Formats: sequence, C-alpha cells, structure tokens
Amino acid sequence: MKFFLISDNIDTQIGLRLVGVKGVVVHEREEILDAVKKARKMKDIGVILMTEKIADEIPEIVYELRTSKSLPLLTIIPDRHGTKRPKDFITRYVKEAIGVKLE
Amino acid sequence: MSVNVSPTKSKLIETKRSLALAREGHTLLDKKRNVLIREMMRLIDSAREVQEKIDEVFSEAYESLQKASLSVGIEYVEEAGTAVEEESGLSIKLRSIMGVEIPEVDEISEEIEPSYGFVKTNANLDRAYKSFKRALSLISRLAEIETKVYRLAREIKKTQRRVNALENVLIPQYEETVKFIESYIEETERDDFFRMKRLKQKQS
Repeated sequence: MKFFLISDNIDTQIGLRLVGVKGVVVHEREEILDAVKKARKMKDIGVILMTEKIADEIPEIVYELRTSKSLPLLTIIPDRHGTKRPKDFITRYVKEAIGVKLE
Repeated sequence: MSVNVSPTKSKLIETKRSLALAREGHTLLDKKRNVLIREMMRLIDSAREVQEKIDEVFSEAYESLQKASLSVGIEYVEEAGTAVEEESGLSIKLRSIMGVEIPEVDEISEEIEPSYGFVKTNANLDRAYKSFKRALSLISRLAEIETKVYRLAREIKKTQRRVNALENVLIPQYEETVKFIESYIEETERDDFFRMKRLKQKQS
C-alpha cells in the first residue's frame, strides 16, 4: 500500500517525494476537501498524510478519518516551522481516557 | 427516587430478571474496559518515544532539505524526486480487540537505496534523502500508534460511561424497585393473614 500527502507547502511535498511519497499541494478549503475525496477514492492508499495547517482547516474530516473502521489511516505531520501540537499529543489521549496522568 | 411501578408478583419477577441482566452486563463491560486499558498501557512507551522524536526528526529533515536545495537548486531536488520510485511497501493489517479495529502497520525501513542519478547531485541531497527516509519510517510508526491509542481511548471512554451508568443508575434503580415490590407484597400478605384471623375469631 501507499502513502498520499496533502500538504500546504512545497517543502513537505518535495521532501517526501524524494522518498517516494506522492502528494498534492493545496490551500483553499474546497481544494483540500477535493483532495481528500480523491485520495479516499484511490485504491491502495493506506495512510493519508496531512500537514498540521491542512488538518486544522478540516477538523470534521479529520475526526471522520480517525474514527472510521476502514483504511486509510490519517497521520498529521509537522511542516517546516515545526509542530504546533503539544508535546504529549498521543499520551494525552491516554490521560483523558483513564483520568490518570502517567509519568 | 420514587418508584413508579405496579407492585405485582409478575413485575417483581421481571425486575429481578432485569437486575440480573444488568449485573451480568456490568461485569462484562468491566472486563472489556480492563482489556482495553491493558492494551493501551502496552502502547504507552512507544507512544512516548514517537511523540518525542517526531519534532526532532522532522526539523532535521527540513533543515537538510533546505541545504540540499541551496546547493543544487529546489528544481533539481524536485526533479530527482520524480525519478524515485513510489513507496509501496506499506502493509497495514486491521486487528480487532473487543470490537475496536486497530491497525498494525509494518514499519518502513530506514535503509537507503540509490534511486536517482548521481551526475548532478551531491552529498547534501543524499543527506536530505537519508533524513527524509528516517522521517518516513517514523511516520509509519506514528500512523500505527496514534490511530491505535486514539481509537482505544475513545472506546475506553465509551465503555467507562456505560459501566458508570449501570453501576450508579440502573442497578440501584432496579434494586430499589425490587425492595419496594417485595415489601408491598409482604404487607398485603400480613393484611390478609390478619383479616383471616379476625374472621375466624368472629365465627367461633
């Protein structure tokens, strides 16, 4: 299976193209929705990659992809300026679910 | 809590049956929650590792890309990219734990293989290639772990809510109903008994 990248900047696209990940660069909400639709229609896509800005633009789609029982999976990656997500963006789910902070 | 049922024998049997069912459901859900939590605990170490590494690996990758495009030009980096074969070695299996579909992603190796021409490229481009390869490997792990943790966490929350509802609302409610009906029936029985006795006394 393959990756598919939806990026808001050219750096991410070029960098990941260097290791064999195809993708598109989009900016407007409509374009993003279009790209997601296309990516989901494509066969053989196992993981959709999104930069953080794209993911912020379409929270409802992000939620849908996260909770859907089938593929593709969704992964959000940082862009050139680093990540804006908190340091504990995975372990915080654990904290929310169990209610205990794990150190 | 006011009990609003007709205090009959059949209602009592019915409520007792519901109570037994609710208790059974409660133990089952409790077990489910424990299994899910255990599964999530197993992930916690790798989750912590990945979330720590992600920023570092990506900033390194972008930095090396910047160097590469400074030395050979961004157009050429893009051109070199078109020569690279599309990565299609991704393999994802879905596994179900207590009805939660969680993915198992085979990690993409960090190993590099030369896939673009060396005529016009230099070490900077190779370095960029290498660090992005590392980033991609991390992405495959992130995809697995983040999705797993997210789905497990959601399911745990849902199960927890149901366990709480059973434990704190439904089961006490049923218990109270049973108690109410039982005491009412007893009361009527005493009533009858007494009435019979009085009747006998009058006859004799």
